[in-house]
Amino acid sequence: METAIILGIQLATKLIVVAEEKFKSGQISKDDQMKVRAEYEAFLAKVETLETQPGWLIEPDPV
Amino acid sequence: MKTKLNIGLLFVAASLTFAGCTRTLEPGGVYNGDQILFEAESAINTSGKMLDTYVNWEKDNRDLLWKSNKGIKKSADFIRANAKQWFKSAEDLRNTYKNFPTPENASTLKKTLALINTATTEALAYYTKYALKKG
Repeated sequence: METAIILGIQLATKLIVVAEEKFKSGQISKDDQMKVRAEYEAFLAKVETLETQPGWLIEPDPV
Repeated sequence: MKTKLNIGLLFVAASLTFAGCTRTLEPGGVYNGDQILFEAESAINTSGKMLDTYVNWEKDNRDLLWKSNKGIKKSADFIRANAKQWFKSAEDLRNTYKNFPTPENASTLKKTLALINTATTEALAYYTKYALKKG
């Protein structure tokens, strides 16, 4: 149980980092715009094979 | 830690929407100043990362999580079953908006992103309920 909680906190920390990056205000530089575009294109490529990606396979419920 | 998590999750929910965005684009960038296009791609990136993290977290800790709350796997499986279609729809609407940047196409794009936002926040609600239960 403690392990799951710790892993949960790690997940939350990751999400916070992602969200805080997204939430920054101010002007987005041309370089950052290019990074967002590159990330978007990489994600689209991943979506094509999403069902084969780690963690995305639907498996039976535990007994 | 609990406060930090709550604030972080508020960031998550807020960051997935267009509303209240104060960012501007430096002229000459790849988006040609199109704020809606930039925010759409940025929102898709953010949702994609979050959902990917969530389903992997559920898989890596399935046995423990299943004993605690069966709804976590059910929500992860719902995401697994539908996310591809959500993101493909968002991509199609993003392409439509890029080619024909009308207010109507912008509105349709935002509605689809709102659906992805709803799925993401529902998953986060499950996660929050569980992870903070004893945190």
